Amino acid sequence: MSKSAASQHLKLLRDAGLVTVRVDANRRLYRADLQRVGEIASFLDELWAAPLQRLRATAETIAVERAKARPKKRTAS
Amino acid sequence: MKLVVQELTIHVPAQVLYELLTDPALFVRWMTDDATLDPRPGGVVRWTRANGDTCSGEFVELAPARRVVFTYGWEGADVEIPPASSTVEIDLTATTETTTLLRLVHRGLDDLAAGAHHGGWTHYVDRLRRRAEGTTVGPDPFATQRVPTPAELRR
Repeated sequence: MSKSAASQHLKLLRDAGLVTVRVDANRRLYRADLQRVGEIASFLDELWAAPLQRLRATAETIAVERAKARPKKRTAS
Repeated sequence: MKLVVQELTIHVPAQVLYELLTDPALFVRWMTDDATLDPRPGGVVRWTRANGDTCSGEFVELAPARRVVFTYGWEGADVEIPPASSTVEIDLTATTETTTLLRLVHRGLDDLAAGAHHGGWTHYVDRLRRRAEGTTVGPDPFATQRVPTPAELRR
């Protein structure tokens, strides 16, 4: 990765609050904000991981319900 | 850009999952009890989450027992991602007659990340934190970690 490309990436991360920057003489020192990274990971987890776990549990319950209902249907028909 | 990918194996036929994703009467059994679904291309998909956020978009693609695609965003003036601005693709692959691999890809969340400096992330994270209060949350793996400074790395 070129130096300017790295700068662009770091700027995005800084705008998103994922890294903080400290100027030390002629250098810019970047540090990851791990609390913020953790918060965003939690957000993404909440967004889909939790609903999909509920989807799995509900689907497997419904499959069991249908399996139980099936013999009745056969005797009725 | 895809920001979220989720994969999980579920021990039911793919058709059962397809119905849970597209049938309003079944959708409310797992996502939220407040939802409107019109499962045809261009049809509305809209639900209000337990934390009060309302998500909405439109169905794009519906392939029974195989694939569901819909657009996705949040309603509300203080929210950075307008309805239908990102896309959720869910693929169902039958691995056996009674087992299905579900793969979810959520594309187009770039604006959400880019909007973070306007308070977008903070807004959601604060809501999530409030919601998490009083519930059991595991220890934060990041709580005690710290990035070594360049000086420490050189030692």
